[in-house]
Amino acid sequence: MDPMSAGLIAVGAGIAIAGGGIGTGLAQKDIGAAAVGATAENPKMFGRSIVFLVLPETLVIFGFVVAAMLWLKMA
Amino acid sequence: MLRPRMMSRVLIAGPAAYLEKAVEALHGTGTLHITDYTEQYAEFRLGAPLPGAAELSEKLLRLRAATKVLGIEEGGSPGPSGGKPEPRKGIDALLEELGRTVSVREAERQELEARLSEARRTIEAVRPFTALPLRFESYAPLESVAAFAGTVRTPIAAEVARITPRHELFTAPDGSFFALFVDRRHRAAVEKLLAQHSFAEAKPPLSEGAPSEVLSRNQALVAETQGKLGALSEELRAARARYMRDILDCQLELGLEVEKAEAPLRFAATRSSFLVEGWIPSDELDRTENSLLRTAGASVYLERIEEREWVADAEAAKGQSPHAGVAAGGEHGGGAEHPDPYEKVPVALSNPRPVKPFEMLTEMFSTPGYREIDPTVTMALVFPFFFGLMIGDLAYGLLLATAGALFMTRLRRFEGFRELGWYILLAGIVAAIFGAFVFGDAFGIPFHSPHGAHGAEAISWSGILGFEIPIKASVHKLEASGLGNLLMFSILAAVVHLSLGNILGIVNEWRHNRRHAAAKAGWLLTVLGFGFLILKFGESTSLGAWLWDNALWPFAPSLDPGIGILVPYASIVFLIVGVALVVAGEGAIALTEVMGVFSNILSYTRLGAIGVAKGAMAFAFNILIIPMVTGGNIGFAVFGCVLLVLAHMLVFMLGSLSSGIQALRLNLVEYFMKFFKGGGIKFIPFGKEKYDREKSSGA
Repeated sequence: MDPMSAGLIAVGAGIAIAGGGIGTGLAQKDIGAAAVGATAENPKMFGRSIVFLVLPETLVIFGFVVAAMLWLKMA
Repeated sequence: MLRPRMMSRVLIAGPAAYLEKAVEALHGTGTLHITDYTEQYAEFRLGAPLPGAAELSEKLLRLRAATKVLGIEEGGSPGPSGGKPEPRKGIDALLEELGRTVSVREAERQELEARLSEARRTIEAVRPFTALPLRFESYAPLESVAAFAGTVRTPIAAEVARITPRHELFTAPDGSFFALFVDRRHRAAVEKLLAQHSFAEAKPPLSEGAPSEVLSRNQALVAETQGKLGALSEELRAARARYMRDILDCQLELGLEVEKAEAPLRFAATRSSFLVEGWIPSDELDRTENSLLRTAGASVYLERIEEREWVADAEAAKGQSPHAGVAAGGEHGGGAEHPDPYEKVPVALSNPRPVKPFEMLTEMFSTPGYREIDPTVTMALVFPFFFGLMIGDLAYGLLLATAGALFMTRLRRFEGFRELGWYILLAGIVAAIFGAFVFGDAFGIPFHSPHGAHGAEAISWSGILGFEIPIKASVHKLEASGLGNLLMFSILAAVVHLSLGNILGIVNEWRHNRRHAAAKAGWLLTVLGFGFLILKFGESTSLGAWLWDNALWPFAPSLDPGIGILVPYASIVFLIVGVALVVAGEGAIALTEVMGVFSNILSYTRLGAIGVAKGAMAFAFNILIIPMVTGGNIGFAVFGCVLLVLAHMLVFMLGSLSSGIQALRLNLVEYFMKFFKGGGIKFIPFGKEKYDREKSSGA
């Protein structure tokens, strides 16, 4: 593979994971605030709010899958 | 295991004279889940508490006040000055003694603290005045003289002189603090001047004598009060050590007494009889009946209500309620489409001891319904496996297992730590096994240096230890082939886990509604269809090749649509049949969720992703810091070692936290959503605390 294509693939992989990360972050900021509020009111909510908090992490996982597939193509 | 304990509905009735004995017997067995009486029968009113309930509650309150003063917590240790526990006292004797000692000491302590803060305030107020050669009497208000004391930002002497020569100004040696006495007639002008110079007034305290005297007098007072307070808190600490065990025991005992005394509030009663409704685990029925007979005699009667009777009852009650709604609101309420006569039955999960701690995780989602499958045992298998797989490192695994063992022994008195310890002990063992035999690394350093690596990247345990480690890693996390295999394994885990979820869903729905069960079967086929499609995509990995040559060979024939992906015929068939079943069972709206299955499967790639991310983080720290340690400079080497320990602690903490949470999430979100409804009522037997205590001491 010529270096140019490899480089472009690497940039693409970076964008994939960065986009997923930003999306996850945007979603988590609201959920996180709500989760802390709920936990402050009722400490028993801690476990459940953690689970809610990690829900949007699926987005960055999708980004990771795309990045990994691109990387495997490059390697 | 997969089902909760079988429950029997019971009715217990007897004459009012036997109420106390019946309560005693029921509390003693700790098997009855009382259904609170809601005055649904016209002839019965709510029961009244047993005599003495108010007095018992008051004693409990006094005891709790004492625990608060002494800082006693449930499960806490008596502290270093524990001493020998004195013989156990009665509750009344203890309360009387506590009143004599602890309450008096506490009142004394509060008074001393008030005095201490008063003296401290005075010291703060007096301190600036010590810089001036004036006694406090001088500041007393006079008819013709106005006094000012405080600080200004800029010197004022010249300007004051311009207002009036009839003044006296004293300034502290450092020039900030001053006292000014002027003719009262010029007071307004001086005030204005001071304001321009940012005057901050200091009020002289209401004392007499020289400021330095007042200061030292109060300092002495502070020292004395602090000494007394120290002695007092020493006494309270000693009292804490002396009474702790007694107080905790009495508190438990009183709590049980209060529970007993107030139980009749949940019963139905007439002037001369009482009636309790509730649930007892079927296998405890005989024991409860015998205990009642022994304690209260044959006058108290326990009747078991047959299942078909209470099911019919519940259905009748359900059938009535929509009509009631129509009569009251005039609107046709949706009501429950399928009345579940079992929804009021309390649920006591029944799992073997190693699985029991995982009930906490299931309950985190919801208590299973009475007729639902209890997924705890599947959780107990899958959760530590996923958790350990994501960590996948021999050293981190052993550390985690050690932490787990520590949680279960040293820290078990904290709520939930025993369970948490068990999870991470299991996960740690799994992680160590994966780390040793599959990934072949410890602390992110591989057993053997990877092919073609040089410099810091070639560091390996074989190199460090000086001998060849006989275990060869089969998957290298940070190489392309390793990552491919790890992702394939994640997808495989997803297909197996989600299929299991849907199979449990079929079993759950089968009793309620065959059409819904068919829809669950449709979802199962959809999972397999998408799963095979993705697995086929990864056939180029070694795990994929093995899978399609061995386990999945019957499904291997594929269509080549010419876009670079092979589509197994099995996938096409599964997806078509699956989606058809889903639509038939749940309606066309379910089509919107079909792609959700695809993303559910991909969601499991976090198993590989987190494993790789953690491995990469450890690897990055290693190649940055290890050359520093081995560089030859002793100072750098020491600094590098400290840095290395900190770095690995960070990786370990972050890795364990995220692995644990993600493993939990895969179970609670992806898996439970396939079949688990929950919403059951937790079985809380009357006399639970006693029940728990007996159980834990017997175990």
